[in-house]
Amino acid sequence: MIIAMAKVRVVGPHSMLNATLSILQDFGEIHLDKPEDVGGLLPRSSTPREERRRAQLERIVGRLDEITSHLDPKKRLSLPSQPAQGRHDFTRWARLARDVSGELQRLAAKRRSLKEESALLKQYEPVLEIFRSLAGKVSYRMDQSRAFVFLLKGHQVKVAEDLRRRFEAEIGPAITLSYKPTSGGDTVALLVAPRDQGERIDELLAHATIRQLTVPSEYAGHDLVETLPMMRERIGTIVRELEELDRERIEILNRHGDECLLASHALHDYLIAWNATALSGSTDMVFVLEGWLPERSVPQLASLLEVHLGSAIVMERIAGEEWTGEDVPVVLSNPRLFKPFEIITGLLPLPVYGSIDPTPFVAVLFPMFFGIILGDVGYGAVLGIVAAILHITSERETAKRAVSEVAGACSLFTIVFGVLYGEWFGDLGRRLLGFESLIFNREEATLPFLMLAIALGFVHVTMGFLLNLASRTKGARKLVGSAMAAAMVVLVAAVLMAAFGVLPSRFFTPGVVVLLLLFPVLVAVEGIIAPIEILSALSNVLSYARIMALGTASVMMATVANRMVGAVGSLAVGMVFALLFHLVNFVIGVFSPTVHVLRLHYVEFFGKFYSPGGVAYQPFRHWNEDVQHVVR
Amino acid sequence: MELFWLGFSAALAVGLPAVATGWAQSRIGPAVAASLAERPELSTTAVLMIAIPETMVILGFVVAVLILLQGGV
Repeated sequence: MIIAMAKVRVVGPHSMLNATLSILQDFGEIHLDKPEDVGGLLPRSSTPREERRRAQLERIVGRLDEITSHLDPKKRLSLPSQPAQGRHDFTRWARLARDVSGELQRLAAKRRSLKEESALLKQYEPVLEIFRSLAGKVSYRMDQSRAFVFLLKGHQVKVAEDLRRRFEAEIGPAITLSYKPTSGGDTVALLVAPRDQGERIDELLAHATIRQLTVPSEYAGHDLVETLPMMRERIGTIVRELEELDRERIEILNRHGDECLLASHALHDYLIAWNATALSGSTDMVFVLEGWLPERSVPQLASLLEVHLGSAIVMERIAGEEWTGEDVPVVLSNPRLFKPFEIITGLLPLPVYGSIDPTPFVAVLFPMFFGIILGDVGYGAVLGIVAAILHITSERETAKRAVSEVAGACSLFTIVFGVLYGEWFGDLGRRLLGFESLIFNREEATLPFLMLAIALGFVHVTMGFLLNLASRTKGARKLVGSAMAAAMVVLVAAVLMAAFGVLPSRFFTPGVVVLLLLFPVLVAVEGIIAPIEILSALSNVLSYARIMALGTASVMMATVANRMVGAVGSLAVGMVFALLFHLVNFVIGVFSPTVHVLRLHYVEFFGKFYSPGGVAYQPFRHWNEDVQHVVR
Repeated sequence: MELFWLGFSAALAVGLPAVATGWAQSRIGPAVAASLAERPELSTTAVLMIAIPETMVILGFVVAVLILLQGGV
């Protein structure tokens, strides 16, 4: 349900605005709104100096948030916010934010550079390892020979052999070419040639567009064989340096983390309060604040202002006639049992204040329709297990927990209807354990199932019309129109039932006569669109046939899965196929009813009474409470 | 022969709306995916848009069942 709200106005001398805001922020339940433009009330505007200061504070907060993002998230939320201590603290916090942020950025830059260096060296490592193994097989003297290392893309044995032939032709048999594939799929080649032929080989390699492997500049003066252990040593040093950087970062956070956290909370609160002042109006003498809060909290706020600020601050309730439902923030409040289903209504925009929160109806009808469609003890039990796992692995007040509870309710209804239909993994229970249906067997009783689905449609759509009547958002004329539309849907149902012999046939003629009489009245009240709306309502009712269609498809697929045992190869193979088919059917059986029952609610049911467009309730409160709310 | 026509008409009652539904969803699907990429808050509308054409095939299925039941199959 939507909880009752009250609009209040708080008036006091300018000098007490900050104190009043502080009390309201501590109270944390008032949703501030711009005051009505009456009696020469002026909106409060900031001076350029104030704007500059505000931009400065926002920069400091940005730095502090960056610093505190390194802290444990639970710690970030648990620290109680502290009131701002005045300008002196702001200066100190600005310096603190600048110093700590600068230090952390320096460490981060060094860390990035070390990581890059380590990554580069690690790229060389396998190549040099191969080079070392090749060099071990080739004997050469450093003073007389020169080694060339190059990387051929891919396993290019043919290219390497072509190179060997070309070098031998150009230089003679004094060269030695060895090559080996790397784990990355390329080929490392080592060419050893007399030192005096070095320039010629450089030219030949350049001509063949082969790039020689060059090691980082700090290893340039060393032999490649010596380079590998040096690089390995450097990688080890980098690891130690990174550990040292981490220690340094943790030490900085341990030393300044709490104070940064405190400063961040206080500055956020200060900025929130600053934004709130923009929502105040003022005259020469007084400020005016207006806002919404839950009706039950009004006396509490009044006594709080009285106790802390005395009679200089006046709080009054603004009469309900002066405000409209469209401006009022909406707070949904449902019993614990219905609360998880707010996730379903929450997918749509909030309902406007004064209309109806459909959550309680969804909480009963969504799992019921789901159960009517899936209706199988076995599938219901499996869904129950999935729901239990989701529940265990989720935290309180999260979307995952809500989904697990909705799934739990759906599994319960699925089991109940499974018992009524006598289904246990399709017809398996009936065949093996002798389960019998208590109402009808869905495999055979297609027509009764269709009748049940249509009847549910009539009830659901009529309920939608009745809820529209109960809703306070429509004018009297609209209400009469809605009542007549509901009456006509019921009459059409009665006439059809009389025609098909469900009701005594004597109801048929009077029913048709009343329908014909009501029709022009409905057109007069609702306009020419009324007949279309009635037809639309009837097509909405027919849309509930999907309950029967999906339910029948589900049970048929389960039965087909059971018949696979014995029909496909050996018993074991058949069982595997049957299990897989049941698994597929279960997935479809959960997904499809969810989508279609959602649609039945959103289009057919909500369409009759739901008035979206409610304003979200955003109480003026401390920053950490807001963050916790968002995190949940 | 009558049995053939009963089966044939029931198949048509399901088959034609199924083709129509498939075609409609093939047009809606990409449009919905593109919309969601820009505005993820439209996910509810997306689900509804995808589910709406399925009404045709569901009603087709109901008609097929009625044809078969009326024909005494």
